[in-house]
Amino acid sequence: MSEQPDFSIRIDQNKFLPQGGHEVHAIVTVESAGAPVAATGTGTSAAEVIIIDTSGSMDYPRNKMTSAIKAAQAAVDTLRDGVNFAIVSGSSRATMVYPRAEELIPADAHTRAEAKAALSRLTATGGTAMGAWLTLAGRLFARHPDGIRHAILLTDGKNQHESPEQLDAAVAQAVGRFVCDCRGVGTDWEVAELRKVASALLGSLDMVASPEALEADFRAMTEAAMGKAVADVALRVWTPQYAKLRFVKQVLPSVEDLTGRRADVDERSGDYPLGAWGSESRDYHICVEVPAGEVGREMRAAWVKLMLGDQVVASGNVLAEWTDDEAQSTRINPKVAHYTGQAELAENIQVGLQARKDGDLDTATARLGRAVALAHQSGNEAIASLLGKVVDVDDPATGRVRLRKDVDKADEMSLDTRSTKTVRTRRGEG
Amino acid sequence: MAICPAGHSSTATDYCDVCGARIDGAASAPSASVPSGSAPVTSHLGTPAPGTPASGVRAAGEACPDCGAPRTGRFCEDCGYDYAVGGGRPTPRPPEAAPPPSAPAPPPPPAAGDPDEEDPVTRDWAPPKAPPPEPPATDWAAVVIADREYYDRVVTEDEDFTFPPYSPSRRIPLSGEQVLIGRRSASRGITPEIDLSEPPADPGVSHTHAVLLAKPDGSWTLVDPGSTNGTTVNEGDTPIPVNVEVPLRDGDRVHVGVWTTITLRRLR
Repeated sequence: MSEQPDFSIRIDQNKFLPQGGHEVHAIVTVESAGAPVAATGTGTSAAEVIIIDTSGSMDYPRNKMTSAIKAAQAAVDTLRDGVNFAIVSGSSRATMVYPRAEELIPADAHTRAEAKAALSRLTATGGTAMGAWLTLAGRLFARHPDGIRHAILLTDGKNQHESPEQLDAAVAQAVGRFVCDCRGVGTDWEVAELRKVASALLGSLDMVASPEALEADFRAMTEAAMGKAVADVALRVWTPQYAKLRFVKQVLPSVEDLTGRRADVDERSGDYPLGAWGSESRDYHICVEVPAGEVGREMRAAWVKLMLGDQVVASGNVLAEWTDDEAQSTRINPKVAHYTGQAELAENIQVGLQARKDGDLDTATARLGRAVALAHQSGNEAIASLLGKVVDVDDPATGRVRLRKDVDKADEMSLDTRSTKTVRTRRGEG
Repeated sequence: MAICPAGHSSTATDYCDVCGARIDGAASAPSASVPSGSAPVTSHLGTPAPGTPASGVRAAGEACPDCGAPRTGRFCEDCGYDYAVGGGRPTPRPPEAAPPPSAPAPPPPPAAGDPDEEDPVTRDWAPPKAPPPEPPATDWAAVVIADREYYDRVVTEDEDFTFPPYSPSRRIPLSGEQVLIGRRSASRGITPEIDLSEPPADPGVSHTHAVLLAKPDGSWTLVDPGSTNGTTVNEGDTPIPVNVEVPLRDGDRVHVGVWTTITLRRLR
């Protein structure tokens, strides 16, 4: 138990509602600190599966395949001794690269060297069927149900060799069995498709525009996975009788709607899985609808608990109090406002880019303009600079923009991919 | 074991396990955190605590089976459902007020709207959760009174609406893009800026009765989206047509319900 990090929960909200008000918003910050992270070799058991797309297109240009191999080799080097791992190659079917048998093997100097040698012999041929890849990964993890279970999926193309239903079914099967970070290389993959996989499997999604950047990215992902101290953390939310939990969204480090992931615990509580946790901090936006109360009444609108198995490791209260003082009830908590804006930013980018693709230029201009204004207001510089590659900005404050004519496909895709990445409130605002 | 104000037994002593109400005497909780490694959860798992009121024993705070509003007494504040004789079955919603005999034919149901009419408040890119825009400086106010003359004109002797003996006039500044005239409904989430459920509550007003819309030139128009009893202007006998914007000027009078007259005043 001593390696378990210290968790804390902080709630930011304005609990005051006007007479008749019934919608309560709060930002829940979950933070862990002080865990001696497992890189030292102690700690939780871990399993890692690296899935490399070896479809024919990975050879065009050839440096995609060689870079992917190098990246996977770097990831193998990052595995600490004792981590159970495997490497899977994906085309229209999934095959074991290392070990040959369908199982995970503990990492040591010898197995790491063998794995790297097996990787260097990979060739690119065949199609793309990610569902099959995920199914094989699920089988590999099945014998290691405890501890950290992490996969990396690298692809360069659309899922062409199985139906969307087959992919959905494979993703649904994998939910809760492992966390999967997804990476797209080149510009021929489908952002929405890979986002669906990463999002359902509680992983990150990113675009690696140049194959050479893969190596550093793979090393970083593996290091992050090795740095997780606990697997399978859940947020348990209790709400009172007659209340309705409108939504639960992760809002930092990225926007992720968790509302549909609820597993009911009892009549009034449900668990939202958060995956593995290291030394880190994430923010969640919760919205509860409660029956309106009398002025002066106070209630607990939600009781938020961080669960590790059936142990509560931190908790916090979301409150509601009715007042006739408008100065109190009309104040919007700055963190709630900030993250509402960040979620809106992500939505405007995604809708705006889709409209641009569909040729609806008015909607695209309006949406992307709104996104520019939101990114500017919230200080999300990373997104603001990506937006600047897709639109010419006349006035960032009001969001007056013009669509650019010649947009690099890679710029457009990386804006779409990173649209959900959020920033913290600026100093003094939160 | 604590008892909350609504009569539920609760294992937690600060806020009720069932309805979340703060338990008398408990201090308001900080929105704080417990340290790592606290006790395992036992309190809120599994079966309800013993002593939870059975379904027959109705506690205050329950929701109206008819419209979902929280219960405050024998009758539902919103739809008039009678908890004592309702026996759990929803009752038919009573008409909000008997229409005066001179009332026009029932207006069409609240409306899909004229397709040619531009919807002034919905812009497709406007995000639903946008922070409210800064209200423009207020140039206009609405003065709300219980109007004896109007009452005498529309209410006949056999109707049972007593004109309120005490009725202070209210002045409500107009701001934002629209100002709703109606009656508050917690269950439907309607909170009109001009709330005629405040005493003396006008029994002839619909929840969403009429809307004042701000125009770009600084003036206001009136729209009746399909209220039950209609809206008249400047002592008129004929209600304004449903879903048609009627321009208003300084001093114009809007009549709704059985005694309410709202006079628009330009302040500067």
